[in-house]
Amino acid sequence: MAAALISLQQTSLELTGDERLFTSIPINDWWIQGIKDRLSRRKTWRLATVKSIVWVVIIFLFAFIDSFVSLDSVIGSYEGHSICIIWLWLLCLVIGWLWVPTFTRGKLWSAPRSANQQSVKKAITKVRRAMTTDGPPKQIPVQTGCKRLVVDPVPEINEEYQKVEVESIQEDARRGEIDQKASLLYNPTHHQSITSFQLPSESQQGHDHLTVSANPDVDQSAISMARSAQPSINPEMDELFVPQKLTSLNRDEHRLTATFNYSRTMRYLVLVDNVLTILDKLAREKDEVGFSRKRLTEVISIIINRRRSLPLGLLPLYPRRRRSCSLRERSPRCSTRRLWPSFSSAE
Amino acid sequence: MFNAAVMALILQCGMTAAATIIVVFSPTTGLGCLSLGYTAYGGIAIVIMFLTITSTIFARITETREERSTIVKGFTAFIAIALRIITFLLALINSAGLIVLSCFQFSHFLDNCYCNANVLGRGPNSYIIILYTGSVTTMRNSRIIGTVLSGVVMVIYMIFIWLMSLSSQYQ
Repeated sequence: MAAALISLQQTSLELTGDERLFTSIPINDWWIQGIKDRLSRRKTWRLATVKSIVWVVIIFLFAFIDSFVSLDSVIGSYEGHSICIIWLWLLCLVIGWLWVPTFTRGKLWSAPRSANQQSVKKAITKVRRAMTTDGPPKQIPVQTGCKRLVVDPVPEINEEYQKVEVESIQEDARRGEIDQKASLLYNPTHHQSITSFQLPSESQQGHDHLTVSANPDVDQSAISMARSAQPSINPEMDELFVPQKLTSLNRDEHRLTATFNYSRTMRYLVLVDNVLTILDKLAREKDEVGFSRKRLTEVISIIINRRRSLPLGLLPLYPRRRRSCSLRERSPRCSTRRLWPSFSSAE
Repeated sequence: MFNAAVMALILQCGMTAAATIIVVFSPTTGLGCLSLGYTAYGGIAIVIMFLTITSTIFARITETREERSTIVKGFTAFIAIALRIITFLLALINSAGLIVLSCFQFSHFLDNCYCNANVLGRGPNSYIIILYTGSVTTMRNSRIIGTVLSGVVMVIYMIFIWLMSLSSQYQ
């Protein structure tokens, strides 16, 4: 980032004070790297440029030598000398222009756009690869836990919605449908918070509940687990889904910087990823201590089958689980792999 | 902005001063047509630089201060744009003037009695050299000083640019 800023000395840039824009998530890093690659390109030193500069220097030297040699013979010999010196700044400018990255105004304007496209394309490729490695996502039985997660940053989601969501989960817990406590508190400014989730002790079993909540003050939107009944990817939506929709995120419409939109979106992606990882960890660890698999499956399906929701899923994400993989199988391929490996340091 | 402005100022002033020193201390000594042209060129360039910085400051004020009223913002924006246009025109005139001055110098247009006698600087004491038999020490020293000054300024500027490009390359 600093390199990109130093390269932009001749341009008026303003850094926003919103620190959330500079969270180090993959798409931000790709974006900044793309900007840096585009804006810090230098002119290359060619033989022609070197030759021209050397010729100019030689001519200057001739003028200086002539001025000193003809010092006492011709009085007016200072003219060439003085003219050479007063034009000498041009040589400095040319060499500096070769050293410092320069670009035209059109390139400056197109650089953020192409960086947007590149980073979003990269993200789409990653998500698509995550979706397609385990085969086409078709109708999946509920018991496998292989559900479709939908991250939905729709503006209408507000605090009330989240409250309803949490309360309904608690209600389910009171009805005895969930007997496992798992507080997945997500704070967007601290990505680690969701991964620092701890499994409850065995003594707490039986009267606990599961809560998934997002921080409403920061985000105004929540993660929602959509139902799994969609048979396949909607191709139209798949085509539409990233650039056009992302720029119309809540309160993001008038932002020119792509970082804002994409960092928010990627937070949701990371959130989904973390939720999957934790659920998977929960499943495996509980399996080891003899947790009732049926109950666990219910937990997961309740989370994922939250249907009291949302008009439209924005980003269809599929956990990287094999379709035939159930929780009873414990092969390595059953585990949910992380979509974004750079966050594994938090664990 | 501060670094860039200071380095540009050093480069510009150093080159102009070196050229002016050489011209002024060559006989006939004193302010003549050519040295006046050089000085005017350098002075106008400095003025242009300060006007450009002022324009940048006003543009910055216009862009960032959201609490200001619309009239104040429009006023500062007008000043910024007007200063930018004025400085652009001034810079055009200045560079054209330098080219014209060089052409005059080479085409011996300034090789007339008024300019050779340095009437501008010397006034009634002006004279024209027909045969110079005195010491050339001052003349030689002035040329050495001018050359060294321009070389030093050039080296300083190049080192600065090189360091800046290095710092942007390896971060």
